[in-house]
Amino acid sequence: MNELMKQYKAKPKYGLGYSSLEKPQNRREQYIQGNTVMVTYDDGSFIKIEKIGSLLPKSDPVPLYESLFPKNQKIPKNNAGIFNPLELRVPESNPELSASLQAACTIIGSPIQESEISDSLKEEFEALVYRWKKDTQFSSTMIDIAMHPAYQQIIGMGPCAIVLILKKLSSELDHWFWALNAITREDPVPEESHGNIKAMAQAWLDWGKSKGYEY
Amino acid sequence: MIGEKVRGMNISNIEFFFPNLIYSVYKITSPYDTTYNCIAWAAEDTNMWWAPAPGYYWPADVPRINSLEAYIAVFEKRGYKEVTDDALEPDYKKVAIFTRDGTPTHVSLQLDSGLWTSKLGKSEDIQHDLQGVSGETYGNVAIILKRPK
Repeated sequence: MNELMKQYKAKPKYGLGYSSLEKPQNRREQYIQGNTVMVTYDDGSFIKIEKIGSLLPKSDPVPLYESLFPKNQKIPKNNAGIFNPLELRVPESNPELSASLQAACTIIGSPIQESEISDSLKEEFEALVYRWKKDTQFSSTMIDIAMHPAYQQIIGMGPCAIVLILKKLSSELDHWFWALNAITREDPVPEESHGNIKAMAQAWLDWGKSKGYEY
Repeated sequence: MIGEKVRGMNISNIEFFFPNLIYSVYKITSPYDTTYNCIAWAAEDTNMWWAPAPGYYWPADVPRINSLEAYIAVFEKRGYKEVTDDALEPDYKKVAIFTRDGTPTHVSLQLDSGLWTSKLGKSEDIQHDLQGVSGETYGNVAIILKRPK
């Protein structure tokens, strides 16, 4: 069990960190208790999503959990090896539920704080930031800036990247808005502030504070 | 922090990305600043980042497309018209739009001296010969436009 997993054992949340080198895990068992779903895997890792039950039909939620966490299937992870609730499988036959569940999964649980992120993930983030800044320092077009592979990998880190990006933004203005928007699916910047980088940054920093991020 | 090293912009770094500057007259004229870009600078606006991308400032009635035609339209709305000559004309302002593989990458504004001024992306402003910033990074001048001062 890696260091990050131990942290989450002590304080479970979604947004688990896994080494991308780990072997694929198979689901071992799951617990449904009130509004909480807990899924454990045969390597000892687990996912816990709180309050999820309130979003699901009360009549027979078990088949839905089965479809969310199928047996013999790897944990849904993004490119950075982080559990990504947006990649949970939900029944295609119920697109409305699918949409509400995926949207809810992004806000379930409290924000992932910097202290909860492993040193290795922070180092990876810093290395990606350095590469992105170096390669795009002379770029004016947003396609060059936002589609840079390092920037896309930061987006791929998912919710774990939010607090790290907000911390960066609080110390140095830069074009983190697309990444924050892509990860959170929110846009707190009012239209009259579009293009005003200071105002755009402030809108996102205010958003971060309102969500409880500490940096 | 590792990311902060980029802020220590220096001449050798600029010349690495724009090697034609080595053989021309140029100087850095502003600090690193991520709040405005080349097209804003050429439009004499240092408060906004202009881009056709969603979430950024872009003049009304100009298509939000990252195309040479859209960039030309931005300056036509400001009274510019296409010309073939980049030589200094004392009664006119001139801008040069650069493209790489047909896609706009950069805009320079001509100064009263005949030199040109460029905001280098998120980095510094420089004064330079027009061809000084041509090359792999920005491509080449695709069009010159001018308007009366």
